[in-house]
Amino acid sequence: MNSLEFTIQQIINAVSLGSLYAMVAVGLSMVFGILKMTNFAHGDMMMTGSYATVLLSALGVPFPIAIVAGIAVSALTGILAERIAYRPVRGAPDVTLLLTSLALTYVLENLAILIFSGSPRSFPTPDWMNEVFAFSDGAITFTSVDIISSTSAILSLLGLGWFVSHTTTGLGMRAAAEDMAAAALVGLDINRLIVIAFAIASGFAGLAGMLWAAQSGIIEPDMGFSPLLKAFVAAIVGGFGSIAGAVLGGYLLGALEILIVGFGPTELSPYRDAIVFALLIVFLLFRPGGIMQANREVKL
Amino acid sequence: MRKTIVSAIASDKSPAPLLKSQALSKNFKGLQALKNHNLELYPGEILGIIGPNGSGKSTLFNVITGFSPPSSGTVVFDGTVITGWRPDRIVGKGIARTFQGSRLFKALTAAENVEAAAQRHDRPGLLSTLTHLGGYARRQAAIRGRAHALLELLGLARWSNRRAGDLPYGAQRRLEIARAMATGPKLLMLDEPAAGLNTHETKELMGLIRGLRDGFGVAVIVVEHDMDLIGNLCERVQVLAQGELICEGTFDVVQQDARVRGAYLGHD
Repeated sequence: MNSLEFTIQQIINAVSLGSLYAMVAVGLSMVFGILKMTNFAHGDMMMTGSYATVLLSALGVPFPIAIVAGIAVSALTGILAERIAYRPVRGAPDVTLLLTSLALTYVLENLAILIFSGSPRSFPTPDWMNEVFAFSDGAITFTSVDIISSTSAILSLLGLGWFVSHTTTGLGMRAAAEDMAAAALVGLDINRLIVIAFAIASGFAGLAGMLWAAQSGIIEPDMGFSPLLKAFVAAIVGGFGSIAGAVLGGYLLGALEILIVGFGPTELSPYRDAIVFALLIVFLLFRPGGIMQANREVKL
Repeated sequence: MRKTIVSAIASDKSPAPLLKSQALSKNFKGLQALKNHNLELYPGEILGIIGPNGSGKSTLFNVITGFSPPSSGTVVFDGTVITGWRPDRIVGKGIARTFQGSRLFKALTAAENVEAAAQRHDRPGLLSTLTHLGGYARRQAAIRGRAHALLELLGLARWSNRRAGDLPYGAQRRLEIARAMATGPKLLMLDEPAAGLNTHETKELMGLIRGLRDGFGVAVIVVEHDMDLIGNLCERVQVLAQGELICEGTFDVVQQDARVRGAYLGHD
């Protein structure tokens, strides 16, 4: 195996992993941008959609349709979470919002355990998604899921970028993210903007959850926890509240993890999560505004 | 326009007031920031509100615009009771305001600031936005067009694509007015629009405000410390002190009032 092929393989891995982080981080950052609240239940939006997809395909619904329906279920979970859990405490102290989101995590995960049991279930990826492409005698390999993850992430993130920068609703969201009270006083319907932000953020989480499940082959009630933490780091690294920053942070984090695993000494690999979270601490201490903004305070 | 209103009031065949607030009070933890305040404003009228700092002027603005609902009392605007409405609904009904100090969206461009406010009437639905069908382009163009016309009118066209936060101070103040006007108001409420402006800029501002009234027929309530502006611009003046209305009338009348002088000389 020559080093060029090895490098290409690692780049493919990094883009694939970074795409997932970016899709989760973007939602976390969007909700934070508009509500100044860290939605720790965001990872559970990944879970609800994936379970819906598994359930539907078990009922015989064609897989692509089950995927789309699953994403819709994730978006709907986000809308309901906003309506039922977050709206009543909007404007309350930050700690209240934080605790509400943690409570919501427990409610959703335990609901899933109650309905589907806590044991992992297999994610019924159709064969065409597991197809393996190998080049250079297997030195470079990737699956359809890798391709689908990367392309759907890049396309949907570009779409989001267009939506936020070029549509009237996107403009309203940027205005509300900057000053919610002033946005209301120029006639923007804040509730509508927040609901849309939650729907988009949760839809992205749903898509990411599906791709995550397709790569790991299983789903479980707490499947959103680990990606949520990683996405959180990605969002902070990129600058919390910034959509472009979250995308950048997601891909950087993906690259960093693959760098550690693929190129670092073997003894370092087990510590990759520790290194990622150390990075979080470093950023919070020395660059709380993320890579782009040096001195902006972030409250969590 | 102005003449008809003034004569209508004078001849007692007054048109229905545009804004009528009755017995408005606002309490903050034992402090009565506004006490039993009454106000009638007619379409196209320019009313000044003056008073020492902390006399309740900004509180009155906040209460009328739904920013912080009154503790008691009612606000009737254009024939509808709007007390306790959400701010964006009140804007939709036709009251727009600016803030003491700036509340612009500083990271957005000047044009985006105004377009955000101009969405009120022409915002395409979400489906239309995503599909670009159902008159999306027409609505988008209407929003852009109205925003551009206002930027032009307030002398901000050349700043259109600059970040609002990077604009010179005077331009930022005018941008706030443009943004408020973009909502298509019947009543424009200006909270210290001349603060920080020099005499020349203040004079220009008076011309602009009068122009908006004459051109769009908006009524204007202006809170200001600049007595030159109040005296020149306002047809009627209310004086507040410690949350209470202590005097109302033309600027000349108000100036002669003993209570007003007392309040400003600050013996209490």
